[in-house]
Amino acid sequence: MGIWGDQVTRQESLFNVSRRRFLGILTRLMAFLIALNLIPRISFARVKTPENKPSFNPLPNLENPILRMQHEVREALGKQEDSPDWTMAIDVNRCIGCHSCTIACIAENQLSSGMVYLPVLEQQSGHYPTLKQQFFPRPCMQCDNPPCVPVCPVDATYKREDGIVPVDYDRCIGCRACITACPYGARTFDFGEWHTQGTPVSPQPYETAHSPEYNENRSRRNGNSTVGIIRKCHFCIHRVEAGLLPACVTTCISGAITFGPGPKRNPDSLVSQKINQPTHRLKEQLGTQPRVFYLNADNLPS
Amino acid sequence: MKQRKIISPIVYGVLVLLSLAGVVGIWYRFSQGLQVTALTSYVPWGIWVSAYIFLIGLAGGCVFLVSPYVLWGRKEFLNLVGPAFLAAGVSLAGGLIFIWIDLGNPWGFLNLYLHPNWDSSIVWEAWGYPIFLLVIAGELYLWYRPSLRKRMKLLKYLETLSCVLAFLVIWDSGSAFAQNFSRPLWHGGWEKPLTFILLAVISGAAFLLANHAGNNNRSPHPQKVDRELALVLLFGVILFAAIEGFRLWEAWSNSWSTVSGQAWKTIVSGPYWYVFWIGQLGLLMVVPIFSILLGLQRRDSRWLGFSGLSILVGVFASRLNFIIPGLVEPAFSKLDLAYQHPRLSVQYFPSLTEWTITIGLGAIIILAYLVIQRLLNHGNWMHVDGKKV
Repeated sequence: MGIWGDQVTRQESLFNVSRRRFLGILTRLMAFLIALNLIPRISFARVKTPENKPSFNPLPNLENPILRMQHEVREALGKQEDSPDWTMAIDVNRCIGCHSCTIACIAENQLSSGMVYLPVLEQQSGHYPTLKQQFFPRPCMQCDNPPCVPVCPVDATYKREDGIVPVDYDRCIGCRACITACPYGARTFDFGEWHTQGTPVSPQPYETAHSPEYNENRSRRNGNSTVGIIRKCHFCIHRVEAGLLPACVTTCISGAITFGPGPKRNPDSLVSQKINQPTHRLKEQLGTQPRVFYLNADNLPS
Repeated sequence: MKQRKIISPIVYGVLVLLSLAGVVGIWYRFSQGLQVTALTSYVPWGIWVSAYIFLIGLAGGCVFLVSPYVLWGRKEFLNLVGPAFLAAGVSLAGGLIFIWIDLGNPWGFLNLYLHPNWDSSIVWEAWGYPIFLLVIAGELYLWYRPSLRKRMKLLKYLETLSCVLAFLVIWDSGSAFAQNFSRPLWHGGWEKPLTFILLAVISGAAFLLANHAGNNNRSPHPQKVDRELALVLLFGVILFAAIEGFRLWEAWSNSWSTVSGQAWKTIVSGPYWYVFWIGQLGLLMVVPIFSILLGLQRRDSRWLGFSGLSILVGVFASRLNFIIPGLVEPAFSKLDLAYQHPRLSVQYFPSLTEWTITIGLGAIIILAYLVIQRLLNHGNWMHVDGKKV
């Protein structure tokens, strides 16, 4: 071991320490940034009681559409005398068909195998050489005249004042009449299967974790399971009532999905501005009055 | 005069075995849930709902067809009364069991009575059919208790009530489908519930004809009641053929371009084309018309009995071709491709468990009918104005 060896060793040690030190600094920095992001999530209660008016820390940088929408949601929640009138707008020119919203929704709501709340429809229009393809994320339309509500024999699904059409998991008997009544195919049935069905390790812990839907924290393994009943998109109402945005809105990398209080509640909200532009609604001729509007749609799915 | 119906022990043995298979299937369904079925979120109803609407129609039809004797005293219908009440009772009970096991949360059925939504047709069915079943049970009790047989007046009231109930609930069942504007094959006006009533009369008449004319050990010549039932069937089948034919022509004349037209195209030329051509067209329409005409012309009740059996199978095929094609057209043309999964498919063929339960429960219904009939000694009596002969 000569001088050069010692120097090399020292340099290697120094390099290794430096690299290690660099990685350590980087890790701490990332943890700090993640913690910054987590703090607002931890601060706000996930369950909002009717008596408590939620209080939210002010959000910086309302130029950012996500933060602006989040601010508008919190503002709408703050005034309990008015219904928030939740509305969604989807700009199909911005949607790139990545299906991140589909996956985010499945992860957020702990959806089991064979269930999807937000598939993305692909629609082609035009003729060669002017072909065009557009993508239509299709959540539940939360119709103002929902055909699923009158057919439910036990009032398990109903129309809320804020515009959401939820499903009462305790009351649903799984007759699936609402599925046949929905013209958008927006409802799915929980058959009780797992993503890891048929494997020796089924189900995995992530599959039996509690779902935050409706703030009820249900697991598909215990007595208040969702197996055998209907499940559907509810605009992530458990997130919205905590001052957050639906998972699909937050996840969308192109900002195609806009959400917030509609024109009846806040005519100046971002979503109200969006739907003031020319928009379309799916199967509007049926008279269901969907709360989901599509912008820049050349050829609606049918 | 005694009538004895001797059922081969082999038939009883087969029915018992099938019934046991059905019981095992039902146990499996309850232990595993609806994942044992081939249903999907886009085709949520299948063979069990088809069996339900078939059986409730059969029950209603049987009740309608005893009214000529009970309400108007037509003696040629006398021998049909007992079998009709019994068939109505067991088939209605079987239908309710079918729809119960089809529920995703079967034990939640109590919510239908604790939290009813009276805007829903299903609630009216959930309340109406059990009441209908109780009325049929009362009619059965009155008919088979010799000491009570003289209470024809009470039986008339019950028969009137059961006819009204049968009409209302079957009409309501048809209306539930007709009001569904999301399913173009189902959506319509009063012709849908009317079709339900028509098929109820047809299936009731078919059963009674098969049961009476087909088991006529005294003479191959059809009795007057057989001829009348045959004429009812002939008229009913031709009318149903005309209605279905019009709808098919409407779909074809629009080049199958409408959504209901696409469903009709699936029915006549899809993967299960044989259900339409062999079941609905052949067994329900063509074969019975020829066999009825043959039976009437040759005065052979066996042809009439055969036509009844053929129609029963054809009506079941017709119900399958009503429920399933109404659902296989997705809400959007590529919805099943947007997120692909077997439970998000528009393809449906009943699973082995569904077939086992359907056939098994059907065997239980038939076995229950035969056993109860034997217990009630129906074959040992002929009643004339309430007097044992």
